[in-house]
Parts: sequence; structure tokens; C-alpha cells
Amino acid sequence: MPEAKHPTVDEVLAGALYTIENQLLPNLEDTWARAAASQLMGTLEYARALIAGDESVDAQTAEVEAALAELLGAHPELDALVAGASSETPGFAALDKASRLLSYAVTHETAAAAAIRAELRPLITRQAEANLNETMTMLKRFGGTPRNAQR
Amino acid sequence: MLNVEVARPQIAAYLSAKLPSDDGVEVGPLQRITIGHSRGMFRVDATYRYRGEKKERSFALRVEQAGMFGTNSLDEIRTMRALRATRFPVANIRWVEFDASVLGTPFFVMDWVEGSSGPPDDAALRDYVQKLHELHQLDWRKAEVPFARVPVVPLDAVHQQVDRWMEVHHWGRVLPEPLLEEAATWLKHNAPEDLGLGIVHGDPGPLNFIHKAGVVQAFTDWEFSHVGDPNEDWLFLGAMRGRGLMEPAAWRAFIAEVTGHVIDQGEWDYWDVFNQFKGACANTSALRIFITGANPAPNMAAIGTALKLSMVQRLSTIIGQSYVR
Repeated sequence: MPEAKHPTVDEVLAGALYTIENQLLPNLEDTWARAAASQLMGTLEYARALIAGDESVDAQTAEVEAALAELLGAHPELDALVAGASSETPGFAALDKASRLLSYAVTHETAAAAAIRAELRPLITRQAEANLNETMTMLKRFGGTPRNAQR
Repeated sequence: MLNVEVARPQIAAYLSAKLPSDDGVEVGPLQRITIGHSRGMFRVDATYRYRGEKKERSFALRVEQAGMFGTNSLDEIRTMRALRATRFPVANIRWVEFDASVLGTPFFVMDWVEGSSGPPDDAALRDYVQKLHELHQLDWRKAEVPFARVPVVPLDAVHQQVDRWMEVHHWGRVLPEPLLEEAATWLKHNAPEDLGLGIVHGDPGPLNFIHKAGVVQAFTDWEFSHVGDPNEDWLFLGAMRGRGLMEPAAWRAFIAEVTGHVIDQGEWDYWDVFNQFKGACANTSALRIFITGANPAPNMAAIGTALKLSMVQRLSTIIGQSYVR
């Protein structure tokens, strides 16, 4: 394992969080400034979580690609729906195809539509929930001020 | 782009060119009005002398923020002026500026409306709901409100708005959002049969109106307004913006009591999905604004990610339930 340079990114972020919470916020009176400081803490907490985990969408893309391959293999009639999907990036292409299939399943009552709702949709929903959880620190800090930073 | 927070000299120079002063206008420290994220809103206190007499006037400055929510000042101004002409409570717009050399972005200046945009008391809330109902009943053709899109039939309005919000989402997104694409199709496919057409404010509720002594002084934040089904507004009020005051079931009863407008459960669920969709699409714009540096403030990051995703989660739950019924 490579030896880290110090201070690390995480140490810098932790220091910034501490400073905002304990030195800046207690001395801010303006409501908008206080909200912005709190929101900044949320983004820094998100950044800490991001650098400690996975910053890419590659794992999610691979999951979607696998689900698409299975669906299209079992229901080749769906091929026409995903033909011409954007190939901007692998992630964009996979989610573009998933979008087309979910939209198809809204308006059709076929075996393929049922399979999309039963197999692809739960995966997309689970990934959206994971993304929400990952970014939730920002929402929690959105309108509030940390209790222990009140005057 | 100029930082409006410190643009006091530019605003003083602008007002000096607009107001009839003897020797220029002085502007006090700008006060950020802490409501809304779509626009920068500031109170501007101006002092000047005219024919030797001291004058003091306050204005509200509303500044665009890099295309936030995919809306623009021109549509908002046109709507506000047309509605004010009908005597609906809307602030008077004094000046409109599209020249980017002034503040770096379009803005307009309104007369300051005295009152509070904070939590309303019962009288103010009743007055607000009644006036929102009056807005929905207003003859928009007669009022000649110059909306950018005018539907031919009620269903057309749903399609127009779904397409409008998908355009905003597509502009802001980094990656496709399958659950929003699904929702767009679902909303068109499942639109209620008994749709109405009226002026929809689009963002109604607490913080977006000014009240004083139990009476609404002005409706604010008109950038989402359009012609559509009034239930869009009622759900936005009862299931989103107004939740800090009452739970959705209580709102539904309150709206029926004050206005006589009854919303059945199917309509309630549909317009809940619609507003979550609208909110998620609009919020996507904040992501682009943040990552391009057009406005790198942390609220943009939160709106463009977590807030958007919380709405996607809500709408996908309701749509998922519709599949098992």
C-alpha cells in the first residue's frame, strides 16, 4: 500500500469542517451566510465519504449492463428499443437504454414489460437510493445549523 | 460573473441613472432575502436628494442565477405585469435589465412590499388559499398573459409541462435518470380525464408570498407559472412546500373548506408524482450550474444531487405502487 502524503485530503477536509463549525459559524449572524456555511459542511462531508469510497459510476454501470444483457437475451424483441441509444460513455449508454426500457414498460402489458418491471426496475431503484444515501449529508445540512455551533 | 453580494456600487450607479436625484443615489448594505434558490433576492435601501428634499426608498432586487431551474426573467416579468394589471397582488416591477455589463446577469427591480414572508397566521393562510383559488379562476385569455406556451386542450398542457421539464433535466444532467424518463411517460399515459385549465403559479406556498395583518400583500416567485391544471398548485402547496405547516391530508381538507375545491385520491397521487417530477427535473439544473462553476455555492450541489434524488425516490415509489394495483 502506498505511503500517504500528509496532510491527506481527508485530514484537510476534516480540518475545514472543524473550522467552519467551531470558528466561523459561531461568529456568523447573517442568516444566509449561516445557511451557506452549514451547506458547505454538507458538501465537505460528502467529499470525505467520496474519497473514502468509490468516486466512479463504473460498478453501477456494470450492474446495469449485466441486467440489460439478460433482459435483451431473454426478450430479443426489445433490441429495436435500445438500438441507436447514446454511446457517449458506457455509463450514459447503459442508463439511456435502461430509460427506454422503463418507459416502454409503462405503456405495455407484455412478458418483456413485466420482466423490465420485475428485474431492471428494482436495480435502477436500488441504485438511485444508494446515490441518495451517498449525497444525503448535503441534504441534512441544507437548511440547518449545527446545534453545537449555536451561540 | 460579478458577485452581486458586493455589487453595491454598481447598483447605486444603476439607480442613479433611473431615479431623479440631485446628485446620485446612495445604497445601503444589501440584505440577502433568504428565500428561494432560483434567484438571488436582495433588499436594496436607497437614499437620495431630489430638489433638495431627502428621499428614502426600498426595492427588491431579483437576479438570475445562471439558468437555474431553466427559467428566465422575461417570462416571469411578463406574467407579473399582466397579472398586476388585473389587480392580482403582485409586486410592481420598476426596472428590468438584460444588459450583462450592469451586474453580469439579467435582473429586475421591484418596489419593496412591506410585510412578512415567514410563517403565516390562520387568517393569512386562508386569504392565501382563497387568492390562489381566484388566480386559478382568472380568465387568462382575457387577461392576455403572454405565456410562452399556450395549450389548446387541457391534456396538451400536461404534455407541454412534462416536455418542458424533461428539457430542463436533459440540459442539467450528467447521466440519464431512467426513473425520470419512466415518470415522463407515466405522467402522459396516466393523466386524469377531468383536467382543468387555469393560471398555475407553479411554486405556491409559504415563503413565496408576503402577508401583513392577515392579508396577502403579494404573491412572489412567478418563474414557474403557466397555463395548466390547478391541481398542480394544490399538490405543490399541500404535499411539498406547505408541509411545514400542515400534513397533506389536513391541507386537502383545508383547501376544500376554503375554496370548495375537492381533490380525490387518484388526482392527489397523480399531481404528487407530477410535482416530484417537476422538482427533480428543475433541480437537475443546479448540478450543471455547480459543476460548470457558474454558481459553485454548496446549495447548488445539494439541490442538484440529494434533493433531486429524494424527489426521484418519492415519485418512483408511487409509480411502483401503480404497477401492483
